[in-house]
Amino acid sequence: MSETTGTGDDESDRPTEERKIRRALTQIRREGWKVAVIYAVIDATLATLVVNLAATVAGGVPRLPTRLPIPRALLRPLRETAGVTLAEPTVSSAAVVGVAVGLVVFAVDVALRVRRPLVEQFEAANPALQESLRTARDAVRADRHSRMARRLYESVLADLKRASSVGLLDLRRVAVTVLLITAVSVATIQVAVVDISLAGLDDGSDSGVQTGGTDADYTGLQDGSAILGDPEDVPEGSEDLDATIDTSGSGSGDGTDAESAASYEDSGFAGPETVESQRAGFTEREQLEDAELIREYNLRIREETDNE
Amino acid sequence: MSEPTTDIDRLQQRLVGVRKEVGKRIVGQTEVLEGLLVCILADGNALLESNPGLGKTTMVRTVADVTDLDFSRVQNTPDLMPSDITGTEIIRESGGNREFVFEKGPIFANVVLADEINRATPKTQAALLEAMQEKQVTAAGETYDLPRPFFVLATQNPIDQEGTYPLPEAQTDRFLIKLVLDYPSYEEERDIVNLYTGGGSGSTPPVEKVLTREEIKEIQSLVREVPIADDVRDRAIRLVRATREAETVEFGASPRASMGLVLTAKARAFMRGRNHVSWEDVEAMAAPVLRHRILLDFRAEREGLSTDDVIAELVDEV
Repeated sequence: MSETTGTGDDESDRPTEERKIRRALTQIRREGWKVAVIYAVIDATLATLVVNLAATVAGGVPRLPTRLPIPRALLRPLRETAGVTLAEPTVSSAAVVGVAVGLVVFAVDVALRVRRPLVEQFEAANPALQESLRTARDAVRADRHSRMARRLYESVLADLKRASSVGLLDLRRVAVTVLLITAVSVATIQVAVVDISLAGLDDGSDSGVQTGGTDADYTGLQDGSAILGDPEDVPEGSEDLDATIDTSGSGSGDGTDAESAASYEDSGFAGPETVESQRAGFTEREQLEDAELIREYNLRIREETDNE
Repeated sequence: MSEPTTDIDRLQQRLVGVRKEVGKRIVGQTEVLEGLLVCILADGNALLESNPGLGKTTMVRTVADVTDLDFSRVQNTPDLMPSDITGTEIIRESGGNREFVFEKGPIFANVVLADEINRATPKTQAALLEAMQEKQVTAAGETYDLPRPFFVLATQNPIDQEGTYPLPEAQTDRFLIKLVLDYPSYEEERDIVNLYTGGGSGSTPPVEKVLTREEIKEIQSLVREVPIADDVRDRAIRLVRATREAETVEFGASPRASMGLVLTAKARAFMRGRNHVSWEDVEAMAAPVLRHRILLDFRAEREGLSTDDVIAELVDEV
């Protein structure tokens, strides 16, 4: 900042108006900083998202692995506070590069915006105040306490109450940037879902091996359709079978229901023909956990059958 | 609001009243009247160039009337001696004793109209200009302070050049501003005719005193306190310096012009009720402050440029 905010003298010795002007100038500079940070934040966010999207679409960042390990030192607070423990914490290299670019954009943006004196930016945003505020600023800097200077301070303070720092913010630019951020965010989500990758487009030999860019080392949630195969309809049995139930030794048919059930279990089933088992079909709606449960039950039933 | 501020408001309102009262007698000529008042508030002297019959004497007299100032008029002629203006010692008898007493000349007034100053000899001109500058007169080894506020309005007739002694550049530099009176428009001239040839007593319309000489001195003090932004001040200085470097100007303005430009801009800002100098004030005062201080080059004359044209170009450039 090229401006000076005071001469270091005892503020209480100065006339009230002059002190108020100094405070007002400080407030204006603070507003200028806020505006610079607002611009820098949205610009940095946009830059982060764009770089992340570009890197994702390109299939990663050159000379960097797809995923980078997170230093354990960074996770320690998470573990200590929330009790969350991650086995092998990694982060996408595209996201890391995006954040790095965003931080650079933030720093450069803020530096560029505060390079021009903030009070001058405020004056430019409030042309009606421009000359009087600048004169008051120079008068304060020169430590002028004349009657006319005090009158100027009073007038400037009154004008400042009606002025606004909203003019510092180009709302149209902010709106456009926010829209771009939204669009790039949506595009990023879409790319993640559809799993678009431009990597390897120039090398046709690899395209048959790599399936949708899935990493072989990946141990997380995977596509169920890719593992279990295409869904198919389970054919309905079309053969009519005759079954004979042996009721001898277990009482007549006039027994109770409980007796009937017990006699059914004891009797067993013996059909004239052997029914061949078929592989269970897979429907997409079923969850993986259900398949596991069914498999476990099948195994148990088989064990029990073998034991018998 | 504090008391000084109220006081300043009151004085600024008085100045509005002065213009209103002068307007009862002077039709149009608003810029010249403003320049005249600016010159008084800046505690300077003005050089007025106009053809005869444009009401400059009426204007100055009216300003003196509404401001409670003494007015005197000096008609310059080639035989006018310095002592005719400044005053001289005469022998006076009182009670059988004879003593030298200083008889004050017409310059001992608050507002002095020096008509056709270029008709006076250089010696008389120098005496008048010295009095203007020093605000005092020395006669027979005694120094007499001129009344304050003190304001000289010297006129030049641009038509009649025979038997005149044009003021050298060094002398004209002592005038804070130079005002140029032009002929009034048709409507203004019609109003002037109606005002002075209509019914009533036929004399000049009456005006009220709205500003005392003490208040004028107070305003003169306040004018110097009007804050000016550093960049406006620097630009005004660059403008004056540009007159020394411009190709079309043979002799540029002196640092006195820089001071005059800033001071008159302050006076104009005060008169307009502002608390600070705007670049608009500097622009408005550039021609009156600089036009008599620069001498154009032959190239400007060849191109048909007037002094005001060159100043306007320089204002745009800085």
